[in-house]
Amino acid sequence: MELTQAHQEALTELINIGYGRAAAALSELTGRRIKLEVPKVAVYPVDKIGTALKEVLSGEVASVHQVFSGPVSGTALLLLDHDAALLLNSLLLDSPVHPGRLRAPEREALTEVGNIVLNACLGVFGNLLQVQVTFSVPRLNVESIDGVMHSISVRSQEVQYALMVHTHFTVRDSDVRGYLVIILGITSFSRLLQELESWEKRQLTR
Amino acid sequence: MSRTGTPLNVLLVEDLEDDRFFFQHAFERAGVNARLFIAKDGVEALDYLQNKDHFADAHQFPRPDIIFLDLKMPRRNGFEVLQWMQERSLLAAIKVIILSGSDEPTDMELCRKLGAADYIIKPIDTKRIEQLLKTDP
Amino acid sequence: MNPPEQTSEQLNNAILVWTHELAPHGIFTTDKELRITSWNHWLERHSSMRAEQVVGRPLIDIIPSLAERRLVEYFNDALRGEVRVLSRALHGYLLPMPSSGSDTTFDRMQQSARIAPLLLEGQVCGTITIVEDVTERECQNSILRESEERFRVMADTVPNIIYTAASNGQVDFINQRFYDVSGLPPRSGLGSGWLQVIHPDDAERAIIALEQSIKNGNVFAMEFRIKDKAGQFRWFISRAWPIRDADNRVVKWFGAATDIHDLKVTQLALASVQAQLESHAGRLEDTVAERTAKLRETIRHLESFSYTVAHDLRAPIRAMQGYANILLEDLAENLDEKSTTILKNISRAAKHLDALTRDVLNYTRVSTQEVQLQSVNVEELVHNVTAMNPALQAPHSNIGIVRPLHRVMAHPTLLAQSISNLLDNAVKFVAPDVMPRIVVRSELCGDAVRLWIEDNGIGMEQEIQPKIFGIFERARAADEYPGTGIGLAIVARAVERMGGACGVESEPGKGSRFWIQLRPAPED
Repeated sequence: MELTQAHQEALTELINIGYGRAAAALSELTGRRIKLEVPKVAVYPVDKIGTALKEVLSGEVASVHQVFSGPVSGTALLLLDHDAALLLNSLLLDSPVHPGRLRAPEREALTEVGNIVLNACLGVFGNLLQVQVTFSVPRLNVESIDGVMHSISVRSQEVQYALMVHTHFTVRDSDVRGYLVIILGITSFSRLLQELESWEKRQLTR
Repeated sequence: MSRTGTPLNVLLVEDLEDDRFFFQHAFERAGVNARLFIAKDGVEALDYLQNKDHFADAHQFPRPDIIFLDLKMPRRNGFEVLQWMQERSLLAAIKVIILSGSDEPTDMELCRKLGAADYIIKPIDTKRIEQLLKTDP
Repeated sequence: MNPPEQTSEQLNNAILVWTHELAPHGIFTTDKELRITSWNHWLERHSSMRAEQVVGRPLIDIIPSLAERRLVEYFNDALRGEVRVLSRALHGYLLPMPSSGSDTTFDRMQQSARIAPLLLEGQVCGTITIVEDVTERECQNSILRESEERFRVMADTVPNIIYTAASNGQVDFINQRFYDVSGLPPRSGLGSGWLQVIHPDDAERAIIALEQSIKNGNVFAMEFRIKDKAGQFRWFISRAWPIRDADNRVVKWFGAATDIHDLKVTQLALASVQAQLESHAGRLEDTVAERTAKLRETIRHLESFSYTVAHDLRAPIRAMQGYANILLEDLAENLDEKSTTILKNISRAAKHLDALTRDVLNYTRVSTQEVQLQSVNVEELVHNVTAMNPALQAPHSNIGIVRPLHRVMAHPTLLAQSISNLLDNAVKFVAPDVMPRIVVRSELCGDAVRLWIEDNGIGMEQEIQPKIFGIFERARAADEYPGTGIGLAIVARAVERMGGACGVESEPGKGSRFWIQLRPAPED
């Protein structure tokens, strides 16, 4: 399943709405001007998402992992490489970057950031599909990409697809790159694309 | 360097008897406060300067202040003596005046290169000796 | 007696009760209207409010600050199904409570919290919130940050570059000094970024040494050049020490780099000077060898026929002159006129013999000399000849050169001899009390160069002109104008050997014009 140009544009627009909310929430919380942007979206079969992620992330990654369920179910992740995670933290909290691993307070803060971003994104999808989903408690892990892939392996009858959203955090004048990944079954995904098309049409007729 | 009162030591290196006679004649007539020592060729010159063999007594044969050196000599010629002296820093400082029958420019040039202070064509006259020895040091 | 069978509900209730009592965190629940429906033991202890006091009452009544701080929204989000995480870093605390423990860093308890929907058979029926006391953690963190800050200040104060790296050699900290020196943007030196300012010739060595140290856990030590802001390279010495854990594994590298540029430059200069000295010593040896070779050449020349003959023939002649002169000088008073005349004659004859000998030898030399023609600068030659002979200079004579004098193919010595002899003649054969005036010029005659030496001398008759270049030929009586009669013969022989020709044009009383003809040298 490939995304057409139209799908890409519509998805980007939709996610930007969600990101706008997340950015507003983060800005208010931190007292800093924060922007969130989507330079690119792509779809991969779930067994290929690992390779795609390895092209842009290396070494250890911090991932905020949230499972959602309901009429639509799946997994959502926000991924940042270790350095980016440290940097994002220091930018948001206005503290100097320290060398070494992420510490507990930082992990907590990142979890909240991931939580806000994921909720916002899944929120707009939920609105689009007019469903109410429930979320699990978000968890943060620091591991290799392979480790991440392992922990999200879904046991399902359906073929799973991964939507990969390149995410650009801009805090003051610095920017950090992260990747939002949403894994859905083909049924949910098709529905999403259908609703997306309708939504697009509605946008155009306005 | 000799202070006024101390006689200069002059060494003449000349193989020809006549030329030795003429030098000594002019030397005596000049009447300068100097002592004259003789080496009869290049080898004797080297022996003198090293106080070797015949010239072993450094008191009798003191280090010269000035050397008059002939060029064409048997055994060791004037050029060889010049070069030998140049290679020994203590001796290189001694003033050497070439006294030669040759007016060849190449000879004069080579002597200059080998460190000779002056080049006089034989015979040397009294006046010249006077000039050279009275103005020394 | 058998224990009653548990239903899962009963089990859950039992767990809930104990959780309520034992949980080391605060747990409270609300209904859909955000009225408190449970308040656990931990909360009772830390809020000083008992469960009976709060249960059933609206959350915002119990904790008014939630409304002020707009945190109620999170509870509303939870009612919609969202789970919310509240980090201590971004919120500080959820419930205002006094700080526990003796630490006075924080006046309030620092907390992190999670607010989640409470589900009953898939429906949201309220919220559940868990609050964790992270004050202790934050204190530790604060201490850690302070220590890091102190380290950073110190690291940025020392004049050296200070860095730390992970066990795999990736740099995780470089102090400000590195960025001041290199001019790189902040953070760009991390990882392997610092390599970009290492001199390319040193970079490879550095990487190899680094890999060695990581492999063996040995101290890393290396000198390399770092490119500064101006693009110039400066020498630094860098050392890194491994820091090991309890199992003796390397967990970190701690390093420092010091500017040794001036020292290094001096060292290199010293080495260069040493090399120069060695090469100079080598050249000195060569010079001595060259001189020795020249000396040998001279000795050979000394031993050549004409030289030996010249020396040996002229010595006794000189002697005769010398003795005669001594007699004249010393015995002047004792001698009568006749004796004086005789002695003078002896002296004169000896002088003449010397001149003859010299000229005959010159003639011989000119005849036997190996002649290789080369391009000769005639102007220079004439100049040299006049410079060596006072008779050819003012105030004795006036020799003028009409420039340019063409370059010719000749043998320098032979041509010099010829010109010398011609000039000598020109100067000698003038009328008494006349200042010799000579003009030297050249002209192209066909494919030859003619060099003219023109004088204001006495000139000569037509008959004698062709014979004048013969040996022992004289134009004038010896007592009028002394000479050996060989001079012009030498010129003729020399010119002949150079493949040229010579001649004269003259009239008595009108001076003579001698010419030498030679091949012109090719244009450069």
